[in-house]
Amino acid sequence: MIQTHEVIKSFDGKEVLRNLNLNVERGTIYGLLGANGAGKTTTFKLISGLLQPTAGTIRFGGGVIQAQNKKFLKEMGVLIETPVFYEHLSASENLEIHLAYMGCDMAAIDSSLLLVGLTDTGRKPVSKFSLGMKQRLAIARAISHSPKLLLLDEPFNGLDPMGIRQMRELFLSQVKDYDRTVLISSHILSEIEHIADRVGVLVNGSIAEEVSLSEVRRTCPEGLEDYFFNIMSGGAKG
Amino acid sequence: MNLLRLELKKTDVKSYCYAAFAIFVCLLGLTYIFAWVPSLGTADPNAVELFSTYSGIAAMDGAVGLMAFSALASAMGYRYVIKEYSGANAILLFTYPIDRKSVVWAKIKLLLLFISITVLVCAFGGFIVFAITGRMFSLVNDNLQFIDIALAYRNAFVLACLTDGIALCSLRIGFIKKSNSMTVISAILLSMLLVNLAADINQSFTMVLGLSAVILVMGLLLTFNMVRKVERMEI
Repeated sequence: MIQTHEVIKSFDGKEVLRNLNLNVERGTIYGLLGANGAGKTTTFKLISGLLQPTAGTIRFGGGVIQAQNKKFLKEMGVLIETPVFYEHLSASENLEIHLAYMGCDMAAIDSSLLLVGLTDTGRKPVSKFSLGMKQRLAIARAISHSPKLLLLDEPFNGLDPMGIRQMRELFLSQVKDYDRTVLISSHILSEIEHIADRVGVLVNGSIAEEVSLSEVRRTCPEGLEDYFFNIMSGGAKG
Repeated sequence: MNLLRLELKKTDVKSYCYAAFAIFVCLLGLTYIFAWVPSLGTADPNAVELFSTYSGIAAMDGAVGLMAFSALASAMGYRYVIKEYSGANAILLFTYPIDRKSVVWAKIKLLLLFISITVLVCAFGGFIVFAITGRMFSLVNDNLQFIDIALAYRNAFVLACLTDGIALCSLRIGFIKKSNSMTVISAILLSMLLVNLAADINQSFTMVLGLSAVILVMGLLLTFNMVRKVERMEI
């Protein structure tokens, strides 16, 4: 579904991503892990066309991603960094605007809000929402236009334990029931361990390890957290 | 049209309508004060002459309005154009499969439409309110004629063009650093440069009209440049 080939991204001559080779298969959940500043958000921005690679190519569903390509953007549901909304509008009005921009039917508004548990917010403006509610709304917005690919950068931010579990199940159902592909990053490694099929660990701008979760469990019975710390501390491949 | 409607839907213009109404009330109050000036017995015959005619009072009103509306336009321009292209707002906007150029132009059109209507309604509408009450209570030592109303309308129209031009220029200046204060201060400075000329609109109409056209064209050119920047923007 997504392949990045030798992608380099520099800002003012400083390389943030170095020869990034990422391979996300269709209908899977790929967990992108890394320390702060490792280049996770930059990777998300490159895939969604918000940034242009300095070198290398990014392919999505067979085609090369280029800046402002409307076809690709329509097929992506994006949640990057802190989500913003039209604060004076309600949750459904925000989704209405989103779907209008996406050129989609408004029928998905209610079902999307139902999926994230925001059906009872009525006319309440988003400015009165809690951080967790805003995060749920951002997830609803990302899935509302039925994208083929979900790019979720820290989607569990601000969610309570119930919310985390609900969203985890939602992401799993998006893949299982709708054949969607999810690229997700989170510092809550236990969540990634619950849902991801494969993980890639970004270290200093390139993928240090890319393995399946079953491989992680085989090589590191203590779980993903230990596996991650092992890589971060420069440990050998399992 | 669809994009414009979407922009209107997501824009909370209520606070700017209140601000426009406050400017309208203040300008109207100022108009009555201007009309009161000749009765103060000032020694300056030019001031007495200026404030003794409907057209003179309307011109002074327009000059003061220029500064107020320029500040309003720039503040609104920052909120609805510049801020939309900074940080997380830009991420949201750029992930839509819509031509970036069309979106930014829709925002600018909405801004210019709001400012133009506001200036026309406040400047011309205020004059009409003053003219009616002025005639009723003989506030001005001048006979209100149709030409005074026509002049007030013409001046309000030129004022709207000038304000639009200033708004566009300040928008581009503020976009450099994506700064609210830079946008508003540049609009105030530009309007300060033009306020004297605007006050002299009845005597130097051709010059004011020409200058308004120049400022508007300059603003549009700067906007084209800003739109190109938006098109190439990386976040």
